[in-house]
Amino acid sequence: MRRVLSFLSTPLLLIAITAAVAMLGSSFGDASLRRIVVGALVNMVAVIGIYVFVGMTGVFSFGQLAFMAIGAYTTAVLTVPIASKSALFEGMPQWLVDAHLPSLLAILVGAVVAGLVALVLSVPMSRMNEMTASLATLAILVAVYVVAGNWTAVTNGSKGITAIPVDTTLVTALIAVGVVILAVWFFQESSLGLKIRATREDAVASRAIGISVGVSRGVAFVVSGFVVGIAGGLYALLQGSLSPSAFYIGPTFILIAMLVVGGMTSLTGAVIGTILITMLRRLLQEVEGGLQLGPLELPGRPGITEVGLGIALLLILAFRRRGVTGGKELTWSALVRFARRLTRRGAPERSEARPVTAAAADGEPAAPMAEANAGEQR
Amino acid sequence: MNIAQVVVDAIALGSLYAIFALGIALIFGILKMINFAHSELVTIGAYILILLADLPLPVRLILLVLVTVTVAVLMERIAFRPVRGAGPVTMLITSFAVSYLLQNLAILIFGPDLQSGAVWPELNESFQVGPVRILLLNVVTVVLTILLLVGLALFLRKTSMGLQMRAAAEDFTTARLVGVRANLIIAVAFGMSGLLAGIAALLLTAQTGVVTNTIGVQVVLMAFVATILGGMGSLSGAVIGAYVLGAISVVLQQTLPLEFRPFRDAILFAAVFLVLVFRPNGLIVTRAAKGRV
Repeated sequence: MRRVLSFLSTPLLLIAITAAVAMLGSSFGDASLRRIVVGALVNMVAVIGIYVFVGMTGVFSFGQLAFMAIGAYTTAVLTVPIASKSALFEGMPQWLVDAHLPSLLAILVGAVVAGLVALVLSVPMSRMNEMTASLATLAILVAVYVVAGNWTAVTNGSKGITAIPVDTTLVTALIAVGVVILAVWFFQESSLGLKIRATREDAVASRAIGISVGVSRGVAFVVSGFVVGIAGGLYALLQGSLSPSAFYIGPTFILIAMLVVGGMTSLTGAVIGTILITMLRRLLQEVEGGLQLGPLELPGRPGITEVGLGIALLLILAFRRRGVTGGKELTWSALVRFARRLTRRGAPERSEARPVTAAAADGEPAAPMAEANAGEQR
Repeated sequence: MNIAQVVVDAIALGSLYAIFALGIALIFGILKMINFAHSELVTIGAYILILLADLPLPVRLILLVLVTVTVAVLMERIAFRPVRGAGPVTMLITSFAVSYLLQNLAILIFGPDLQSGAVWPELNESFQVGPVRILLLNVVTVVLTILLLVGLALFLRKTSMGLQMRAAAEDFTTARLVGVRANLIIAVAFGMSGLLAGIAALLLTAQTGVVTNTIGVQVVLMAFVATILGGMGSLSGAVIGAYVLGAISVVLQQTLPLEFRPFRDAILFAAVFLVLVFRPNGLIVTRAAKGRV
């Protein structure tokens, strides 16, 4: 029982932190903040999905939002009421007009389609070296963007899709985050997950012990496509409308920033990074709207949020390359150790997101690293 | 279809891509870093040429080169030097962040709207050679590309700095052991990529006459695809990839049925992927690009 609990402590803690922050945000905030919270939860699913490929294999990808687009558009087409479909989509084939699914099923179908596309692409991808693969993912992103912007019969082109039922609520988004965190945790701790992470640490050595680097990366790519596809479906059902630019370079950067700021090589990093960057963006948006500091009036200007986000990421890369979590997982025992140290010092209580950072900053391993944890890097 | 016209167009487009791709391949060869922010150097150059359209052309050209070279060198000093040696993924993300930052800084400074101006109107005149219509701009593009290629080849082969640069591209650690100064070589390489970006900006804006904050990205994406098609880490690979990509692009534009034409880039990338299935390291494979696994 203890072993089970200690194994599950990371995902359960992450879910608890996410739920607590989300509840706090939506119970104290107004409607717009509640919307941001749900949007952040959807983003978290996407960031975790990106983590599955980028974090676990160490191969950078610009292209995972292409799978978010595929998931989102599939879900949208399957959930827009049949009555408004033929008016909305000019020249859509009849069988697609007639296709209609309940939201949950539509999300799953969207994720499966995204996963299948990832499967096809993983064949050439797994043969390339890391740098070429990274650039190839950029080509995937652009290609999907071009298709989404021009395939009027299915995506309605650059005009985008409207009239999608709004079905992603705080509760459904939280459930989705919980399920995805647990599922990805089991995946990364499975023998397959360990193999994938081993290829990240040392491709040559892992090949020497019989791990196929190409297959490992391919599997991670497909699982990542599936998870990001789920995020796409949730996104469609949250926004109620879609346009191709929602899955292009700008949003890609924001989600990548979340992953990198949190710490690319851990699930904890993906979760914490999403929370931190969401808060930072909210703050910067406030500045962008204009500030009144006493007698000093700071006029707002568009672009401040993005510039601030870029600077934040550059600072992290220059001074804390492995992210605020140091690329380590948060565990119960690390938390307990941290609490003990605090009480001994009699330091004031801190917010819950801190322990990871502080423990890692002290140079102590924040986690009793799982036996074969590939997360330990040179 | 007019074959001669297609050939002329393909060479012109390929030359433009080649100038972009060279700037990226130059940095990749030495630092093993894909400089995503190369696109923003082009964008900055485009802003200078268009917003200062009232100044006489020579003044603008001098300003153009001064600014793009300076920004390129500063970019390296401020953003890339702290992460040098931190691994290719970190460097790639850093350059992505620099690109995003500058792109949005452009919005902050110049606003999000498209701006237009006459950069070099004389270049848009054309003349007829038999059945082929040739833009003066196309001639300038091709001539500049040839000059740049010859100049770069001479620089790399005949000068001490060029030799050091090639040594650094081959094996940076050993090169430093025999006295190659890393900071200097890298700064010079960035300066050269800035120059290439400035020329690219000139050719691009002379053709379109407009600038937005994303004008660089749109074309540099093509240059990225050209470098992976040609093979990363070799300058000749980048140039060959650029011409192949330009050729396929023009041919697709001419032969695709009208309803598929908007999908040209998607089809183009699918074709590149198909090539990469058989030649995963691109058309020209260098030792640097070949993985150990």
